[in-house]
Amino acid sequence: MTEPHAPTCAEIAELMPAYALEALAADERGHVAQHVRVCGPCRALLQEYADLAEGLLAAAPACAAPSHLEAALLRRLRAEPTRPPSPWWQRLAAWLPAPARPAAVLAAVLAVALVISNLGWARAASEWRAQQAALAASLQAQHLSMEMLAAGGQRVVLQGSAAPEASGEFYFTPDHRQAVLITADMPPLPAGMVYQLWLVTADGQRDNGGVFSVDAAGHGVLIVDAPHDLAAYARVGVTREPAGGSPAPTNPATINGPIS
Amino acid sequence: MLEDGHLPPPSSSSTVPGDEPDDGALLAQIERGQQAALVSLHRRYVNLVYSLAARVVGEGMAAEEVTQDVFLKLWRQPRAFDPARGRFSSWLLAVTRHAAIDRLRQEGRRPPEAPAAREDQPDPAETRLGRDDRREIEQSQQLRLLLEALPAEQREAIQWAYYGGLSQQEIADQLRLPLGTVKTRLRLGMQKLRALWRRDA
Ligand SMILES: [Zn+2]
Repeated sequence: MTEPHAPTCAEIAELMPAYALEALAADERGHVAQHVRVCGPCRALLQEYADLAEGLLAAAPACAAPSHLEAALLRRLRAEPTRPPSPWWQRLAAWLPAPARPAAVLAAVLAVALVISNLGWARAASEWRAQQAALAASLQAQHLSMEMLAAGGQRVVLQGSAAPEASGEFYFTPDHRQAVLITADMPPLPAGMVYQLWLVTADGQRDNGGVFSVDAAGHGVLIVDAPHDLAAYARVGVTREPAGGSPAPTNPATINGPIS
Repeated sequence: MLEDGHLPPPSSSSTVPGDEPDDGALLAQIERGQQAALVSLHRRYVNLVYSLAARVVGEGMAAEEVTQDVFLKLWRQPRAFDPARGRFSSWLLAVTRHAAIDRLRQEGRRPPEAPAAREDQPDPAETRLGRDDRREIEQSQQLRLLLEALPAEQREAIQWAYYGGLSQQEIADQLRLPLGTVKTRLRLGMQKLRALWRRDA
């Protein structure tokens, strides 16, 4: 049964062959998908075309794969991280070309950030916290900041307030969804404390940007998946918080800066 | 995550002759990071994957790279395959088709012409293929013969669409034909294939 102006079963049946071959325009594809949700006979017919298309995948003229493919696969497997993955900053450091190409570096940083999101922050976090100080050194050595700017990102400078010598640079991607915070000369953290990044709206609301720790030189790195478009925030700031972070800042900002 | 010694029971849909573990068991081993399991699946399916990649991008380097990428994807994301949604070999080939078509588009080239039928067809399926996979591949090779028996213009419409990744509109533009003509050719060809294939099966 169909609605008065909806396509008839006969019209849908005409679209099915191309649907199964993924050759329909989007609107027609939608008509078929919608129709078979409610029409059993058409769903059965579409399944026959889907089976036919599945068969066609295996119906390509048979060729023997070159025998060197197996050795090549093994070589590429050796270059893959073993499970559990090796510390991701090592992989990142290995990718950084010298001299670094801006787009490639930005892409590499974002790819790592995406991989981490895919793995789940929880799983990556402990390994990551332990290693991010080393990453800071490695990234800074490669002048990452210059490269990200050249790729069209934006930079926010954070200056020390509670700690005058501390500083930070906060870079975000052209789409405002991901960012990297790099700090220097942050005061050492007492045991059980971390630094926490805050994204502050114009009316004073503070969103959690993630937690990080720093090495002996006060270097720290945090990759941020923004909860909202970063252009919606007026400021960024970093405070000292108990391990795990706080729902809202409990200390004055160690460093902060305006998003222009 | 499955623990060692708690492999899923062998499923009847991918039974393998001899003592070889079936696809599901190998996938579980891949999830635990066992490279040998990936190599086993590679031996089982590399010809099938390479054949499809070669059909889409042409034989040679590009087809080899697409093949490698498909198996690396399997290594990185063994859970991307959902057994509830069908056979592993079908999923693997669907992944291969998309990877190969992406490659064509990246390179901005047209799909290669259909290769001439060859007499010396190697066996696409290694002896290690499961019984059901083997039967399916035999059916598919029959399907290839049926496809070759279609009128050329109908066969080509199907091939441009499925192995070339083109929409009907793109085929019409490519061949400078009215869209309606392309639609008719593709539909008639598929209707015929479906009828003949059902009779065969
Ligand atoms: Zn219907």
